Amino acid sequence: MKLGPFYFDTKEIFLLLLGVGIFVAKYFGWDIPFFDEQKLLLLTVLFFLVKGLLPAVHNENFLILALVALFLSLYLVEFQLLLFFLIAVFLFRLLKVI
Amino acid sequence: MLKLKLYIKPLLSLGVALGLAVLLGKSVFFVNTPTLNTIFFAKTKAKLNYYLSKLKSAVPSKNKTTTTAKNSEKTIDPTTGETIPSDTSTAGSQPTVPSAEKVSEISLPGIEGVSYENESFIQYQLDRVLWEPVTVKNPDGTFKTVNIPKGVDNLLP
Repeated sequence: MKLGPFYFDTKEIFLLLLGVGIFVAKYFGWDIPFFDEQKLLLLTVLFFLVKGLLPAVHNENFLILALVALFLSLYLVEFQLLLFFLIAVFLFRLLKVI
Repeated sequence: MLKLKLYIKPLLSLGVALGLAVLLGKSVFFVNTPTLNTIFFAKTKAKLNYYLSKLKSAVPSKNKTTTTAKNSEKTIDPTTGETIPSDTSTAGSQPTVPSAEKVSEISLPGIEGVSYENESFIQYQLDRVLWEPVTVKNPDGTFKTVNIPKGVDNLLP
């Protein structure tokens, strides 16, 4: 789908809707069981950044990273989550996974 | 086998990234590393608030009313209606610590059997940096070490 100068594929549209949903939940104070809205919003932004930088051929590796990061958001604080994400992307690039 | 090999590098990267993130966060940037109980923070918060409100309602010391009798001043506890002798309730003194029997019904989740003597004591324990063993005093005067969830000071409103 083309929105202005940007092209969004299906996954990115879902991610966008998810981000909007989390924002609305945070705004109205709705509780998402086990998850913290702030961390989820941070992850959504990170996913968008990485998804925009990666070609579609690396979607599988990105999905693994995304799922692990999502799971770790239960456990790690925001800063460590950010560190984890950045180090993981760096290592992916270093080991030529992506 | 080929498929398995494809996942070695990504999983290795994720593992190393996780280890580095936790270690760097803890040792270099001094970010508090939570424990797995963080998952249950929301529930813990709700429970703690519930028990704290229960505790507040059970502590009678703030609600004491003073009535003057013929010859001596008496303090009446509105919750029980008991008359407290004047020699134990001097004006300007510290709030009376409620009796152990009254508060002994209240205990925090997961640490049943341990009671707190007054509200300020439990508040003090809650305000501490947690996830550490905390020594609390039982009503019978003995001490017991219990674990209280960490970060409760951030969770409480």
